Amino acid sequence: MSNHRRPGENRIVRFFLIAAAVVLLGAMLVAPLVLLLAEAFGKGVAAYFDSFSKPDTVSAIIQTLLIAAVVVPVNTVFGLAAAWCIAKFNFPGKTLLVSIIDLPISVSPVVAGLVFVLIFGSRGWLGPFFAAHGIKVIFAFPGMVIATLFVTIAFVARQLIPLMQQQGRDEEEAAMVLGAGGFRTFWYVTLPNIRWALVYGVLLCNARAMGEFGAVSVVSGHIRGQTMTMPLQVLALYQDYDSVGAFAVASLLAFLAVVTLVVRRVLEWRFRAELGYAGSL
Amino acid sequence: MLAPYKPMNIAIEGLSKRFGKTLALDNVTLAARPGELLALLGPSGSGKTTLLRIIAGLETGETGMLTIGGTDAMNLPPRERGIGFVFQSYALFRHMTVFENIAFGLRIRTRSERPNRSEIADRVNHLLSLVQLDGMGARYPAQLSGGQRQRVALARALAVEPKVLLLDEPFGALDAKVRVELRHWLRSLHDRLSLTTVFVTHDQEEALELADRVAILAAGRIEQLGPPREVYDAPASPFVIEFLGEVNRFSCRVQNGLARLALQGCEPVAAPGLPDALAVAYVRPHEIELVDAQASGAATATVRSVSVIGPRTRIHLTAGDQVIEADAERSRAEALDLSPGKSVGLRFRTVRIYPTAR
Repeated sequence: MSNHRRPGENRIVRFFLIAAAVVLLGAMLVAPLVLLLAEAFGKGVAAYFDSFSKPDTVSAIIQTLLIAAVVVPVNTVFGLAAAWCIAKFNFPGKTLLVSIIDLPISVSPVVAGLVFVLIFGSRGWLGPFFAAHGIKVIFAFPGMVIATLFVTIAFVARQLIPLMQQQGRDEEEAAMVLGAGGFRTFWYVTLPNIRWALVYGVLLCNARAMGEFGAVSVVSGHIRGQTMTMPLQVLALYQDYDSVGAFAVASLLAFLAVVTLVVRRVLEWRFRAELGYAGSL
Repeated sequence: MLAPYKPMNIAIEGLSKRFGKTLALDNVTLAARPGELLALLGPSGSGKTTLLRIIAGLETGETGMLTIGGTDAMNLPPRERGIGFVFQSYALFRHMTVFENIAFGLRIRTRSERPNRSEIADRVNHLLSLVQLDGMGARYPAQLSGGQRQRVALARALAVEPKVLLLDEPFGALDAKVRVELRHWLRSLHDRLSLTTVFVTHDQEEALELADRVAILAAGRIEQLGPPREVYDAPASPFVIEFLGEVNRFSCRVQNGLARLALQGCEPVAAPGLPDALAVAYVRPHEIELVDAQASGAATATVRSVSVIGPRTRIHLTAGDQVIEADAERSRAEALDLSPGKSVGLRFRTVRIYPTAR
């Protein structure tokens, strides 16, 4: 070890920088989480679990799980397909496709929700068509699924594209020459190489699908017991001065976030090389 | 166990390939004889890798014919061509062990064609010992050295008992010492298996040392095809001689079957069959004999610098604007007492003359 200090390694500066980071993290992340749990359990454990027996809350949880159950598989398949095309092939319009995939991340979810109202609403482009066939899109389950699909479309693809680009096509070509068809090549070679990045992308997609507020809020219509999701229910309960109920539901979402974070850390630590750049999102 | 190979030929006729506007292969006709080791040699961008990938089915040719072992392969998918392919990057499956890598081509076969577990294990172990990796089956590619990975890639390609073996820059990613060792090992392996093998390289020494025949490619065309000695001794074109190692280039004029080099004191050189016109003459550094400056019939040049490279001496000379490189044995260089600024005479043992316009 050298006795020379590296540039910038001034003890006082270092102390203040670390202190600033700790204070900020504590105030912005740790304290809210602690307060959230304190509020949720404010009237005892029984009250906490009691709040999950209210029909509206149960309905909101079921709606959220159903939306995620549709959105996550669809976006996983889409993300895999898009990443495969982008990373392994060259075709005209590739850059455009990459930009379009990134679009939902840069657009405000509220704007996205409004766009779907304009398209599928009763006076929208396709609204009358669906209404004529007896399908209600806006202020109903299909609209909430569509809004959530839009918001989370890029999560899987963005995890996979850099990794798959870095890995190249050599292994797939080797498998093909050795006699594997398209499906076997994908199943035995491509998928194992990206599995951890894929798991992580799916987790992120799921966390966002369950936590999405803005876009879903616009298209759901906030019909209690019917079109509420967990985030919407949190706000509704809070506005009803049911703070235990609100924070109890919020604690589920927070728990989901913590699980996602822990799995992320474990995956990053265990499979750093396989994840490639994926951890940087 | 590996069945003895029935040597197969590869025949290519009138093959062309375009990437956008560039013509990567221009009407290539080439045949690999059964059991031979054929090198595709050329600079980057000459189309040699494209040609290999078309044989493998990893690229599609536009026009032309390709047969492997007498079967038309032009429209077959890679997996039905019966080829073993070793990639420049080796392309080992990183999440599989060495054993699983080698067994892959057997395990993915349909049930009716797949050998049973113990047969697969026997064959993989046999291949592991063939490529001198006994006991390494449980390792992952990341735990192997470059040379070991290369041999795993080779074993994996051989496991499916291919009709022909294709190697893309097989030694490109290895350091110099391992490269030479592996080259000798590959040659002896080939002699044992006598499996028709085509390999791509940009290294002329590698091609000349290893191959039975060498095809030299330039800009998508085959410039020359022949045994190493033939392409080295009788290069078909200026491109070939310039590509096969160092060479001095002189402009000259041919008149009545005699070429006069633009060098002071140089005697005319016989150039039978060449038209009266400007031409180029090539002399390799070791084909130059250094003599006394006053010797009759010798071109005169001035020594610029002398460097000793092991047992040989490289002499950098100039004659007017012409830069000349010559090789001499150390004893010869020392006898002449060469030092910068000194005048010496040059005699050319072999001069190759080509017309300038093709």
